[in-house]
Amino acid sequence: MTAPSDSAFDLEVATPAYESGLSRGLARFRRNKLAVVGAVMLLLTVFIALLAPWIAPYPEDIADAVHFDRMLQPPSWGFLMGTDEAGRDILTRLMYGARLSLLTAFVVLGISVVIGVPIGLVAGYYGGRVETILMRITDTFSSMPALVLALAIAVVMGADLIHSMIAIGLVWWRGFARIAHGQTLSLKQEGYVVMARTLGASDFHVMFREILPNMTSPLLVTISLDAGFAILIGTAISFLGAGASPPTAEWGLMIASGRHYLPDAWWPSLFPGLAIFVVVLSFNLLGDGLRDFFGDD
Amino acid sequence: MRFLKRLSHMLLVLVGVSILMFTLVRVIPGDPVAAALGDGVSREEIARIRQQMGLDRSIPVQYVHYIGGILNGHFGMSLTEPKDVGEIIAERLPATLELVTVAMLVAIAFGVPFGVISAVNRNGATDHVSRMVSLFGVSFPQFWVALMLQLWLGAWLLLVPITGRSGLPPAEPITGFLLLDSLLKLDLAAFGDALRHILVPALVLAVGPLANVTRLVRASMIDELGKPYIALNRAVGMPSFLINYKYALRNASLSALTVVGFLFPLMLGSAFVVEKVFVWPGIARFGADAIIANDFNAVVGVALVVCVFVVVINFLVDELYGWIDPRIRLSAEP
Repeated sequence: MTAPSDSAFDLEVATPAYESGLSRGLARFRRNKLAVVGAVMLLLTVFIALLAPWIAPYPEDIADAVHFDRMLQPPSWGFLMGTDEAGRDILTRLMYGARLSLLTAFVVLGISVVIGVPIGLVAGYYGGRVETILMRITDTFSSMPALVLALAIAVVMGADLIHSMIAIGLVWWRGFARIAHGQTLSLKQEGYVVMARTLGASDFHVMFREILPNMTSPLLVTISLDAGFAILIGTAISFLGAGASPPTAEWGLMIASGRHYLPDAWWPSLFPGLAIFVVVLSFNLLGDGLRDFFGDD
Repeated sequence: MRFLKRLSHMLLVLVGVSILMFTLVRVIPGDPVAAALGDGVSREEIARIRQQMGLDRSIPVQYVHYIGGILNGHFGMSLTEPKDVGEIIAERLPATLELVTVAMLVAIAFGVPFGVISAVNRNGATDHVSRMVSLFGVSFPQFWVALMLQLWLGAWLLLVPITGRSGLPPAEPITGFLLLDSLLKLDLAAFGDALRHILVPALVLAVGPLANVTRLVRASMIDELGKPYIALNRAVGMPSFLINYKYALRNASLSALTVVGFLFPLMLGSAFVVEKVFVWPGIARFGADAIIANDFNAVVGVALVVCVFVVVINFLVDELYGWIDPRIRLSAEP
């Protein structure tokens, strides 16, 4: 209001519109209390994962420690979630396991975005035969149940936690390819894209500097919603024995080993499942909130 | 014309799937025979089995040979059971299909009413509860829900059997679907037994999909209720239950049909963990066990059958959709 507007590019007009857009978005986000709950739970998980070595009650229990004197003890004040078949504190292992679950989401989505987005972009941008071939490949991947294909890839790579993460990533990119493809098809018609092409910008520049930045909001929503599914599939693969191997404190694996002590000892399999549920739910709540925030329909 | 185009598209996807699976299990892992037999087997023995299995020929030849075999029902020998994988899959397929079908019915029977009630009372208390429930439903790890229900209903309350498909001596199969067979034979005891066995696994398999159905039906009902003809009906004073259930639901339920198409891959995927937990004698447990045992023929076979089912069902659902709803069929016509 104070600066005299002597320029043709009058920011006074543009800025308030942007601000009100942002504040309206924030208001929508705040109104969606569940999204805030999701964000807070997620932050808490991140803190627990980062601070695990300092806040876990029995840090030595994350690996192959064996305590014959306290095997399969039910929850008590000393062991809030009880102990497992080797006498290890389950709460401690859950705290360390949070690291692996968050890492799973990170690796899976990283690989998916890096593979899927360029495929969708290139297909949508060039069209024609390139589009047909790339999208047929995407269709082929989409036609297969993610868990089945990821399991098969994980086994072929050799049962290992990091292999299972890579395997899920190699399957999960298809969704990002589809979103990037759809977005590119519509963004390609926008004035600024046509302008950039007319001015002779390279294809690479148009795709990655003009089109890509404008599809960040649908990508972010998908990333948040998919993070939960990535964790679900990751823990399922470890549960089936094609992921983490003992004594790793991985949640799916903890349930798989705790399973052998049912029905008498229920705590080794109950608590890791609840942990998975809480983290996946947080990602889903956050994703829903983000979708509202970006005004996606 | 449209049919042929879509049919060729489907076949193309199937070829893609087969190449992918073949590449995955034959090309990448090195020597499946040595891996399966383990140490302590002579080199000559490995070479002999490789030759017997055709693993010494070039990759394209192996692929063509493999596809030719599959079309004749030969999937290659299983390394865990001395039988052809195709034979094992054929024996176990009805168990999986029965489980998935019952789960699908559960998901639709509960999901559609939930979605409708949610949409009609949009933003009301029921809507919030149903949205919360569906959000929770997709956030649970299914293998854990399976274990917990098995523990609670089976081991603690003793309401249902914990594992397996039947507690009776195996009867001569008619269709292979135990529920259907027992009804055809008018054997109510066998029917009750099969029902008690399938109930919990099907329920677990339906949890996530149920949430998806609710969400989808809610969205399409809300979409439908916003259309001008609904407003007109309201304006002329038509009772709202008639508007909601006779008109809106009928139109919205068309889109709920696509649910079957996307639920199928979802359920066949989750069947791997559910069948594992409940020791269900279906193809998914065979696949899950084969994966642990590095039984590559079995893995390809199961994955291929699962994918073929998914692709074909999706194709049929799309066709059916166009057939039921002329708007789709006519607008897609070139």
